[in-house]
Amino acid sequence: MVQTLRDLNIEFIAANPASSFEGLQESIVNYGTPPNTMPELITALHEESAVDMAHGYAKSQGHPMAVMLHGTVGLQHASMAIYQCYHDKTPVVIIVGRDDKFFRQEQTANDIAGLTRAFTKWDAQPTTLKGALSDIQQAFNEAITPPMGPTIVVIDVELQKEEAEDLKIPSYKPPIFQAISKKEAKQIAQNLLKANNPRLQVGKLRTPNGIENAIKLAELSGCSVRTAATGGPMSFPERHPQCGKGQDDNYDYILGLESDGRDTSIQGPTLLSNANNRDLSDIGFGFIREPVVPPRRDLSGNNDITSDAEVSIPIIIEQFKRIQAKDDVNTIANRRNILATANSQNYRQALKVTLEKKRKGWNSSPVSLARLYSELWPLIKDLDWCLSSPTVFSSRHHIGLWDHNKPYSYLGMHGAGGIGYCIGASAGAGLAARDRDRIVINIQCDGDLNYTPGSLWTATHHNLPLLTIMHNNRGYHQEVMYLHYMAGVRGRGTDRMHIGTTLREPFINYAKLAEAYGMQSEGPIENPENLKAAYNRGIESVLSGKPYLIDVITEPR
Amino acid sequence: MNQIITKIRNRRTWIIFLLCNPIFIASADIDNGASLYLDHGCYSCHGYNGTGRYPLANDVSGIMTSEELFIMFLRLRADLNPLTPTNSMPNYSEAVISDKQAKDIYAYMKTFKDNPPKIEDIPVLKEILDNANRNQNDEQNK
Repeated sequence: MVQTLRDLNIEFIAANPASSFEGLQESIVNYGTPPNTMPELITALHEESAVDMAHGYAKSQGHPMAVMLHGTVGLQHASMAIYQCYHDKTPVVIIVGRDDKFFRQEQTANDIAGLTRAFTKWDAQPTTLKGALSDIQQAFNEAITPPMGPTIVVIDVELQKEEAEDLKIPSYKPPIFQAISKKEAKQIAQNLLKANNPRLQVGKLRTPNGIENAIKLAELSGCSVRTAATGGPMSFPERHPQCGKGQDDNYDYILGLESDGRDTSIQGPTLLSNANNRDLSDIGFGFIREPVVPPRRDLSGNNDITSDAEVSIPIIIEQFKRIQAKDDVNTIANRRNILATANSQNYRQALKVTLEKKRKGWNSSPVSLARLYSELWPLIKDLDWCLSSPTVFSSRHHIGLWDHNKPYSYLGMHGAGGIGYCIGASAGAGLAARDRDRIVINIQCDGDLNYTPGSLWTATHHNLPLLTIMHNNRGYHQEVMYLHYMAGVRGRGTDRMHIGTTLREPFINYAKLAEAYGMQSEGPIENPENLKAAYNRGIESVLSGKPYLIDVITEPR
Repeated sequence: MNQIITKIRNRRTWIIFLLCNPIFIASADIDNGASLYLDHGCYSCHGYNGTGRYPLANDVSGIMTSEELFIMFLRLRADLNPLTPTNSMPNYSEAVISDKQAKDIYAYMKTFKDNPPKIEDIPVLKEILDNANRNQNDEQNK
């Protein structure tokens, strides 16, 4: 099993130890000579954290890692995080241990995977060792095939302990991604070629390779490009010369790649396509239902092609090269230059406006969130960095200020808004970053950290390059505001709305919390003048392989 | 010139209004206003120093034009029970914040001043801007 995971290039497997997978866990640690290091066993202090780590890792790398969970109770602990992976279309391979003959009957079931079937993509419960190996391969393939998502293989403890002897690992067959036809690709290439002001709208692709090909297509065709890189991972580099609205936003052909395109949209299958086979109890979770708010684009379907954009791009490139004439090359090169000049000017103008806004409350205490982000940028801009945490609650000040040029520059939202995600996902991003000279920035909301603080220990234990900066507004701020409004509706005043929504009396000291988990830390910082020095200390620590936490007392938003 | 005339007229109107309206003669209690501002969670949207997401400092908000307008604003906020949670400004009837208390809050909020340095005087922001300009020059020189 370990060799099978290794062959699939699974770098890590996260787990909180349990009696139903002792066979596999022992192999992960001891298999081979010298003992196995890939997949490396990552110690999680909660099953939810283990899956959050896999979530953050996959969003960084465009490739899954694995998770081991214990029977019924471990899977239930992990279920919220699995649910978020599902909605985020993020591939994760989950192995659930099952022990029917020993220990506690409450911790096993005939169909354990049924607990989460409505929000996983695929599952299996093999009955032979060989079947377990091919099911792990199949789980991997299903996870990485659109719509991507978490998959589960339930493996009985007896199978895990069975001697492999001369059993051969089944030959691995990579999945087939549904691509557009040559005819469709030729039509798209012709449209791109004859347009005077073509545009690509790039959403979230699957892997960094997809982004490389999107860049090739953009440069070959001289399109301007809209990116989703400030909203999540795996999109077009924000500061590419062609990325921006250009000098004229009157586009005469718009192609969407995993994004809405006015004239053509190539998008992989939706979760709905998966739900019919999975949501057997008709639970009707989130996107499995009809969307509450209809998408903004034309829903006629006339312009939609349900295919994987990433695997379709090379076919469009090939067709484009075939029909492109020599004169077109010069026209396109000229268009690229015009785009680059216009986008550069637009960027600098927008930056001035952005910076003007960041000045507001610059010297205030508690620290303004604009300053929290601004002070950090010059210190990390020349490093290979990844912003791992959702930034909706800290007012997204990285947008317009930081340059999102890498597939993992910003990992986006939680998936389903489930709190407790940040530190685990950031640790997962740290796993992806550790051996790649990359650092991870986690702007960590205080309320969120209190769900799963154990990942602070995991980050420390595994030497993850993770800089955590607390957005410590001492409350569940969204709810503070909701409660205020509700009290206003009922005419009962807002002076008691801190009850149940704020974290005061006593305040929580996150620097000490981190210290308790062995992580270097400092704070709380209330004076913004002290930020830069703290950041420098934090970055120095992270670059030396030691994660660091800085507790900053901030404005609420 | 028209703007100046309008300004003078507005100012005269306000002076007459204040002299004729007894509820605005009594001085407000800024300290009490500060307590009420915190207790009622005004900071959650407007910031501890009036520089939050919906800023009040430097009178940038229209509701800070006058006490009367401010009180009217508190009373006339939407009070419909929304189907989905909202972080809009709540409604405050006189039963929960009296006119006197509202005046205290108003007086406290009038003390909010935000005088951040200019971009050129904030090293980190200047560095960001300079870098962007430098990068563009480099591109042009290529």
